[in-house]
Amino acid sequence: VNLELIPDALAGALTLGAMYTVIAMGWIIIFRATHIMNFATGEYIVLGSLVLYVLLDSASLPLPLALPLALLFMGIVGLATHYTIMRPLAAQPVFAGVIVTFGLTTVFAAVIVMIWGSQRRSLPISIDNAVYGLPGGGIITRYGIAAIVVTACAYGAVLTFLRRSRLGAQMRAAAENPGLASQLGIDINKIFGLSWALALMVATIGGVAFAASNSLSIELASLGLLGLAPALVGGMDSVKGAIAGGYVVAVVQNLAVVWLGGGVSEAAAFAVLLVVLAIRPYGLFGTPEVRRV
Amino acid sequence: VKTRSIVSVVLVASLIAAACGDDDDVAQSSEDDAVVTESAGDESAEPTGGTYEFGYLDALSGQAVGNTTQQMAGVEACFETVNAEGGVNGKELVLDETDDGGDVGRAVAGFREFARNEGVLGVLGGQLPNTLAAVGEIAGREELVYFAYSYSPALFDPPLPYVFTVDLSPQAQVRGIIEEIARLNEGGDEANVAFFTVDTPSAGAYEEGLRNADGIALGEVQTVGLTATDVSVQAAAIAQSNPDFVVLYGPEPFMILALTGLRQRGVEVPAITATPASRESTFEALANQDAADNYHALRYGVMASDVDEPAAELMREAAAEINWTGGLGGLPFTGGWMQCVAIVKALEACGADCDRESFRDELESIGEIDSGPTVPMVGASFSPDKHSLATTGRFSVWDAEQEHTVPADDSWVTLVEE
Repeated sequence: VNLELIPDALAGALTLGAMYTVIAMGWIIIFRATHIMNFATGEYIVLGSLVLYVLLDSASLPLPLALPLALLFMGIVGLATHYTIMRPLAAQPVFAGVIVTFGLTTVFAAVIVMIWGSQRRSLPISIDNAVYGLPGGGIITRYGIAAIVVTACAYGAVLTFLRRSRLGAQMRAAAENPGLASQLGIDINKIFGLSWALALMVATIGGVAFAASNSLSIELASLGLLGLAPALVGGMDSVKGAIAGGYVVAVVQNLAVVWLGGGVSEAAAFAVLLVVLAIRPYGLFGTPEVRRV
Repeated sequence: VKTRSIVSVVLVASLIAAACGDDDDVAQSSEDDAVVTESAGDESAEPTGGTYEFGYLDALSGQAVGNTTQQMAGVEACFETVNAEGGVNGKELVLDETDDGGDVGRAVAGFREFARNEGVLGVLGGQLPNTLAAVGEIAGREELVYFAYSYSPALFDPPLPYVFTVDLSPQAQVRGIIEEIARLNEGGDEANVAFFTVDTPSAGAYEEGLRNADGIALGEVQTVGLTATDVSVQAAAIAQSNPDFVVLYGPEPFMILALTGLRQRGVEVPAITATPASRESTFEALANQDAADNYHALRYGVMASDVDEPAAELMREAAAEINWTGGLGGLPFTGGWMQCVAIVKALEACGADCDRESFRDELESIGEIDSGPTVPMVGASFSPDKHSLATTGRFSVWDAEQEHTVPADDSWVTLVEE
């Protein structure tokens, strides 16, 4: 074991954890409102990133304008998903919605390939890819810093929205007890739709953060599932837990590479998930479900 | 119409040249050439009767669709051009498509469906490892040629009678990489080479080849999962080993992640890779990350997107004729095109009454396809002991001024010995 690589492992986890955090938030926001696990998260991420690509490349819009527009588009897609696909399933068991999201992975993948093809593209985002040394060893790139800053802003904005705004309070109330919230006059459907919109906007940020320093194609959809382990580790109903889950998984993955080699990285993510769930079945920051018997 | 005529004439010329490739086939070739040349003289030539039917079976939906449809477009573009000049032996080339969705069960069922249609002489496709392996295993039982794109040691080393491929074996690819290291090292001291690869079964052949190569001391070896999103540790370990060269093996997303990670850690030495990450888009993405310098990627043929290459121009024009817009900057289009060239040569020898058995025999015996400027592969050949078409390779590098790839060295290196 080469212990000199530990600083590099931790430095790499800084950026990786940030990306995991926002993708995990995409899973959590929908789950805590609707109890649906959205297995099409990855395909939505690709869709949002490709829309950003079109705005940057074909429409030649500057990034500060293109990114909000792409996120707005994903918000509309989220609302549309709820009102046209999920709402009609309201009377069905939750697993029906989950199965539908599996179906959406195929539908979205086909639509994306039909419109954009499956060739890989480079997001035209020009950031001077400077590298900075970190105290104690390891490096971080300007892309990495940008990804962390954007992620932190998204995380902060979502938390602030949920805690400080009226709509956010309604979303929290609906998540905790939809029946009671409905009786209090909260439009549950509007809240569920907003949850879909918010989740897809946030998850798209994670996809863009990765695609900006790599290539963009339908293959990016695999990022969606990478956010599931952090979401479960942090707690599926805890937005606050997303950041803990994201960084726990990222650090464990990279340290596992130091000790056991590169082939175990993905396995390590799910190993830590199993350990956490064995100790805390509701995740690090999740709410234990209390049932009267 | 003018473009179509030029394309047709040049393609026919290349096929004539291709048919003349093997000395042993001179008598046969002369007869075949006459048929093609006769068609070439008449711009409005139409096939005079009947068809040669082929199947195309692969994942035409899902994530791999970019590569498979590009390969199919290469076949279709070539078929269209040949048909426009009267077909082969007066018969039209026809391609029937079946989408297996990358599913083994659907692929096997699709192949058997083609086998039941007695008019089908062979089935093309074969990019995905799982469907390639499954269909390759049953091709002999069905006595129907399966002309794949990818390579699998279980099917081609030694070759199964009814299975053929375009691709180079991993051993041939690593031979090319070793040759490139030797060329760049210019007879210097033993080179300290690091190997950075995705964790796949074929990576073992690369590691073994590098470990046993003369003039190379294989040092740091690092692996990464196929869907990894961070390679900090592996890149740092390679940087610590101060390599003279880095050999990388994996698809484009891995390559961008890996090479960017290495460059950020000051590893500026030549990075050399095999065909999977040789697409034009890989170079563009690396250039976007300031990591394309000193990146050498092996190609076994000219790509349709290449510049100053008559073969590329021919393929581009043929692609335009079939209104193909799905991209040309990869080897699949070239591979599909060369499948057609090999098929045409085999059919010319097989004659108008060609049946499955005769077609298999003639395909296996086409020998070396002559390497004129309009043929995108140099030295391509089949023989009873060699069912992989590609024989030579050449490395490409990024030209930052022209913003496209150029050959690192003009010569094509022989990578497969008969």
